[in-house]
Amino acid sequence: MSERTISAAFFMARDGEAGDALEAMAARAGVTGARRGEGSAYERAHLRGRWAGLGAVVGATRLAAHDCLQIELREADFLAQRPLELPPELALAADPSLALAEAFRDACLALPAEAGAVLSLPQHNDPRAIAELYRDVLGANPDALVRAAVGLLYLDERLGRGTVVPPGRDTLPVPRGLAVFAGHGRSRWY
Amino acid sequence: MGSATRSRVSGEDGDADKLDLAGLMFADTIGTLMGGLVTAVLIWATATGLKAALKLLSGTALGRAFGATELGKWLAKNMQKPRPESPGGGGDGESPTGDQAEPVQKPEEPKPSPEEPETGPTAPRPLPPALQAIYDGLSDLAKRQFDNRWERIARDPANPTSTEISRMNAYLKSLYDRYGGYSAGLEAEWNRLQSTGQPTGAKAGDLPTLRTDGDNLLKSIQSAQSAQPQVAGYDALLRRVAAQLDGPLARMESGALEANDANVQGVRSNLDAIAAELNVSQQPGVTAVSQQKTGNGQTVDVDVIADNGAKWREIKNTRPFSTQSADWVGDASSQGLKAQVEKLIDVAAAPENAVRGKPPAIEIVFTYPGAEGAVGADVAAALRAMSGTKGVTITVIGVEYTGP
Repeated sequence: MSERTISAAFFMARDGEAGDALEAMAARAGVTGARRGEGSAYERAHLRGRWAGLGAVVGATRLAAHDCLQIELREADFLAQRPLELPPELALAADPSLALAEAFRDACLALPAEAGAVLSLPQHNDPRAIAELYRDVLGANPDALVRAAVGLLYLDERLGRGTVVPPGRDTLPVPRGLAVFAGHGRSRWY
Repeated sequence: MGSATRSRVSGEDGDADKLDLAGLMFADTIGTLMGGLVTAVLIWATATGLKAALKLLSGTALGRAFGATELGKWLAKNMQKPRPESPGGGGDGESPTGDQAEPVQKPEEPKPSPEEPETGPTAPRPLPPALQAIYDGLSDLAKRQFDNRWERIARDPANPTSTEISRMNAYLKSLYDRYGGYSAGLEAEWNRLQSTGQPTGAKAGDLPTLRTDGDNLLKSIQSAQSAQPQVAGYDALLRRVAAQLDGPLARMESGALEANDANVQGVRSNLDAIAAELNVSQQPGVTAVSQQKTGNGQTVDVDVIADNGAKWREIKNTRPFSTQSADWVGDASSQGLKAQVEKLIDVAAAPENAVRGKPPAIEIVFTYPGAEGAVGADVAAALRAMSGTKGVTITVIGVEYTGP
């Protein structure tokens, strides 16, 4: 269908007080040109702008103990970056989606997020799957989060402490915390 | 020694969960070690001061485990009592063995200030009441998982903040809602992380068929691409299939991801959706698949383009829904089909997309294979009612469902 999307989800621990406005969170995450929609409930609840060089739709959800900022991207835009001819041992520096990885990392640090995930498969970018993922964030369960193998996972310093990256999983250098891909080489995002 | 052992095992196996599993496997060894550990705790506690030591231990799994032993209970009971007034008294508590053992000498400690109420018990501090009530009803395995999570959620388990207590409660509630019980949920969480290197989960038996179907779908797309080289966009279908096969399917096959219903169905649904698009793409007159179209400031993906752009086909491979559902009207979190089709009409009506002076006609093809039908009759009627908007015709294709 025409609305296949992937997304980046950021979970920010809420310490009692009300969370930030959507516009403020989006700005910290690096979304540019954000405009709030008009018309339907969906449009009014979301911003449209650009992120990681791609068109983006931005929304936020209040969860049990966190605020979740979600930046949706079109799956086709992401897949267009990943031709079938990419070498199996594709280096991270040569990854066509490196800009997405860097934008994600920078957003995690700037928000700051306790955990974040690029949900690069349609079945991961689904409310039920995100609820399952959130249970592992809520339970501070880094091993389960790593094992879920979302496209790119970020854990802050405390949550990621002591976490062992399984073999066959690439990592993205981050100044604080841990960022681990779903796989390796050209399949690192899956 | 304990710390060094833990570091080494953590380094090799990765986490406390696995450390616990190792403990189960070497229960005899652990039993011996525990004797030494209790001795070590007593020596350390004597040196540190029993009250201070128990306070440090409180709230931790070790503290709870130690508190649950007869010795721990005895110490807790006696530490709560005022020291006997009579010199040389051994206290009125009984030792675990029934002997009137000399209590461990309590070192001098600063008295609490008047503003700081005496907390009384210095035994391993229990969990907050609501959590303790849940904890007490758990199975042994569930308690292990509870301890693992509580020690990660609370920065200082002996002095948790209200936010941390709320978070643990919310976590437990989510497990209860998902699995129908606290023990069942915590045990499932524990079991889910035990990797065997082999496929695990209730749907592991489906994986070979899924792999065969996926490989066959890849071949079918490649054949279609060879047979119809003029049709653009098959690469996009191949990338979507490859992502499923190289990612979640391969991980389920290796045992790195549980082959449960959700994970297997996730791959299956995506492959089915791609297969549906492939089938429609093989009809006469198709010129492209998986194409991006822009117009009137918006962008949409069109699944199939036929008749040199004069027809846009949208494939919908989901269970039928009604016009009363969020699938149709949308909500704050999802757009809904109605809004999606309105957007499609907007883009189709843009002058740059006109073919022979007319906007492309839109065909919505519902392919869900359920016996009851593929599209709700009311949804089909609502879509037809949109036909003609901005000069764009809408056609609905698919078996209509008229039931409740």
